Amino acid sequence: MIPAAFVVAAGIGTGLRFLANSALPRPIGTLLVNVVGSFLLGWLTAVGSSHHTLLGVAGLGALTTFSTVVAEVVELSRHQPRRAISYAGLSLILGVGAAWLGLTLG
Amino acid sequence: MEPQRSGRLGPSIVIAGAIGSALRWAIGEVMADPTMALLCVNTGGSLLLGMVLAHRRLRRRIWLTLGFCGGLTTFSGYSVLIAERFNDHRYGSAAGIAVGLIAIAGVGFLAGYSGLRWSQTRPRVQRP
Repeated sequence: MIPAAFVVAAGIGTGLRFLANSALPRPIGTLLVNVVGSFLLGWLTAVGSSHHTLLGVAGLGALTTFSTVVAEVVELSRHQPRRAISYAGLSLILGVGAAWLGLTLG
Repeated sequence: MEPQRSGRLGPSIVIAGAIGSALRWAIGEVMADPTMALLCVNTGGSLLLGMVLAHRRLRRRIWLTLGFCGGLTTFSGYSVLIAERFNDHRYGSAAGIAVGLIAIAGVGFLAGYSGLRWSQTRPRVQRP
């Protein structure tokens, strides 16, 4: 694997996540990138692409984020505990569901 | 805990995200078990994000929160790991990873946030 290509792919993934977070209200942007990224990584894993490290680990790994989900759930739980539970549950169900769909279709 | 947003921060966020991703890849290469590697990066990244957001000056550094911590942690790897267990009919393992990883990362975030807040607010002992 070429390190420069890894950095470029990870940079593109991070940039797309930043754009989604800037354009959409919280936590919709994070939810969207996580669901889309989970589907694509599931599909890529099923296809068995030789570019898995580049596209999967770098690009899609950087596109999605776990720490922001945790921070947003903790932030919501302070004033809107029901919304926090809904967001955590929705992230889990939609994310895993999208990954399963990608694995199945790939 | 809402970080400040700015469109001019793009390049620094992208570079920090790439560095975080490279560190995640390196940890994955070193650790043989993908579940443990995922636990390590997601908990470590959440703990670091908690510390950064508790810091009075660093909390406004989007390149550190959205960039580095976001790049270090991954949700897609977590989702695919659970979905693969589900496909293998290992429902107990899937449920354990789903709840366990998010709970441990949540504890890590709170530990980082509370720990740094505590260290910033505790009274300093003056030396004679």
